[in-house]
Amino acid sequence: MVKIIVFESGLVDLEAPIQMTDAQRKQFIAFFQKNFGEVSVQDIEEPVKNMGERESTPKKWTVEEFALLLGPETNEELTIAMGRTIMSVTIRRGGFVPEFLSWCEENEYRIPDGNDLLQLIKLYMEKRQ
Amino acid sequence: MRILVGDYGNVDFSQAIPMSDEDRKAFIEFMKNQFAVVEVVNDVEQRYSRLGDKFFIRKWSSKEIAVLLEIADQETTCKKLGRTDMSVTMMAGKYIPALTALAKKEGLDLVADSRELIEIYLKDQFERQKAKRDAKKAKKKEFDDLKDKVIELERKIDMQRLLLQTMNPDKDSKLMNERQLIIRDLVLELETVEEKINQRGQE
Repeated sequence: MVKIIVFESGLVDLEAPIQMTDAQRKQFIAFFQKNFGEVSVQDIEEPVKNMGERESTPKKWTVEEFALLLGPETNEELTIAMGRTIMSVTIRRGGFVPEFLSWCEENEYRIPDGNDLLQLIKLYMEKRQ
Repeated sequence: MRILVGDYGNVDFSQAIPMSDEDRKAFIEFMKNQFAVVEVVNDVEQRYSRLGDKFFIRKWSSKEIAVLLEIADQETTCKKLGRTDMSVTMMAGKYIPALTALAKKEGLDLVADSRELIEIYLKDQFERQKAKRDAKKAKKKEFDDLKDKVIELERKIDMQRLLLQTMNPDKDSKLMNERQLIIRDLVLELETVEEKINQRGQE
């Protein structure tokens, strides 16, 4: 969550830096320019988490695997079933499922079972491309 | 005042900002319009590290999880929460299995019944966390009671040994035997309690 810290002295701070879209950042700066007058903006190079070098050959995701991501199995179970890493399953699940459900809601689709689900995922892939 | 803008989209202040009550209210209101979950806190230490100094990690709250589980594309979720794509993806990847398993268990549709699912999920989480807290409290109480018991038994043993020393073996031999049996039982009980403490400590 976005935490705003208010000190007894009247100072106000953020608990940590906040990720903002371009529009949000512009509004944020505009808010301070309007209320506080002179505001300077400084560009900063952010430190990034280095994952280290690694050699990997990306394995293409199949429609059947995408269908499994929508199922009740845990990430650990899918890791074993798919022969993929836990990181790969977690990232793909976290990326695909919300986007797919959002698309289904937009098009007023319910989530079907079996072959119908595979067809729906195929349709989603086609439309997304 | 200076606003720091990172090359990965994070925004920060260069230092805490002095604000009047009116400015502070306006700022909080502004932030609440920009982000879905905003909390104002007072009892926090001043922060010296700023954007660029280190990699910041923000803890996820249950209110944010509720927003994360709402059906929305990732861009919208990131915008609402003020978090990066990767942070949202990783957390969604972690929480989605619980939601899909719950949908299966309750026979609910992930899309059509999403609100109901989130409600059940959060209620379930709340109850689990409460049960976990209660169990932790009960465990601590049991541990404390055992430690009190050790003190009580040690006192009793000391007392019995003291009384034993005051006895005359020629006159009170029968009573002394009885007292020694009492001490033996108390020592056995003490050993049992100490063993329990060791076990609880290792759990």
